[in-house]
Amino acid sequence: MWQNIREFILRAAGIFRKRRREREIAEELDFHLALKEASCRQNGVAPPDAIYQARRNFGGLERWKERCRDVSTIRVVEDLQRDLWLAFRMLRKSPTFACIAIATLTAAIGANTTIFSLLNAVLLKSVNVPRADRLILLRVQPGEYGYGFNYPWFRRIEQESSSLMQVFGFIRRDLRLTTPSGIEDVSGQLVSGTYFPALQVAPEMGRYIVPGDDRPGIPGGGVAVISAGFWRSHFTADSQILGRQLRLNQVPFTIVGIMPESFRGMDQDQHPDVFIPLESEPLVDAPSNSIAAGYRAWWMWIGARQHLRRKRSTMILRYSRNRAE
Amino acid sequence: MGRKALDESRSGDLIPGTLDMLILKALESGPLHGYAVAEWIHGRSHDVLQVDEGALYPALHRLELRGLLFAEWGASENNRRAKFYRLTGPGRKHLQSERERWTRLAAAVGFVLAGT
Repeated sequence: MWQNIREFILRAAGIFRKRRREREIAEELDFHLALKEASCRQNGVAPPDAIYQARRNFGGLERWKERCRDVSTIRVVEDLQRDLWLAFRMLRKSPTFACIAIATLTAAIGANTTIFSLLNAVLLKSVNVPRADRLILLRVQPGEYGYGFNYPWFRRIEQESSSLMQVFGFIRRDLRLTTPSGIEDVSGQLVSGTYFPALQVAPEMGRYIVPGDDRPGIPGGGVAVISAGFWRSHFTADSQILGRQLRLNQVPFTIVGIMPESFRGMDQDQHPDVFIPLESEPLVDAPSNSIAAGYRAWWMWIGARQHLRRKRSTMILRYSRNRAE
Repeated sequence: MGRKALDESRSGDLIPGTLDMLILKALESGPLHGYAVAEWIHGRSHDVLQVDEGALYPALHRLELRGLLFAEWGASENNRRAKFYRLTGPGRKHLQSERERWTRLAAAVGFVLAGT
């Protein structure tokens, strides 16, 4: 191994020191011929014959020079051509093997490279937030994945694209609210900590969910933000509402803010009553856990606010599944 | 010179792969330049082994590249600049293993040819 590396380095260096090497090779071989000629003359051969004899014993001078050059440099182009031709012939000889190899490579590259086309859906223009034209929904292309993403991809996209856009994750969940009079279904949204900052709508009261609220292992559920409508219907617009508890799917959440009436979030099919952190998914979905399911669970949507209006709506993010798994 | 004599002179050609070993052996007792290596091989083999003298140089360079020889320019006996080769530690080790391999091989071939 060490020897191979050393040989490669010396050969590579040989490429750059070509002139000097040429000179040295010529000098070395000339020295040999001169000594040989002298020795022939000492044995009584006449000078012109001595030169001839020395050369004959040596064998073609140019040929040996050429061979010396071959030793000390890499004949990159020729060797590469030869290798490619050999590879091609070998593949042609065994087409089955070639097909399997090519199919495997194609599948491997396909699986590791996913193209996300960023779709500026017409729908989103009606989202009632500032600069809604910069909002996009992400989807995976090509393929039949639609708009669903898994959690690890979301975190990766969030990290890698932060210079281009503010990425957030969300998904609707119908939740069971425990009230003094029994159990009631309410429509909810699980939202990442970046959701509200990206949508840029100020809460009517209190504060909205921020990245600090969206941490794994939230004790007892964490925070909740409710809609103005829900505030009126369930809490009679009580101004002392902040800090009160909500039991959603048997998990306690603390109300920290109220969103204005006009705010409906990203999902236009829904009028959410409560927003809770994405990381509380294992608590409200128990016993199932989409976050822990990793790459296998395609359960959430990803939206983004682009910092700049981009004409081209496709970006390519490369993923190696194995790297993050 | 008849046809027969010509054939006999060819019989001194080297078995492929043995040149490296002979070069290493020539350098075992001290540094030499290429010409001296050729002379040494001729002399030691009582002129039986015919080394195409030019073939020596690619072989020397290859051995140098593999780290078995170390080369440096010095002054020759007639006070010209000449490239001297000397055996390195790995070169000495390689010579030893080649020598053993050759002895085994020669013994085996001899054994086979001696059989009936």
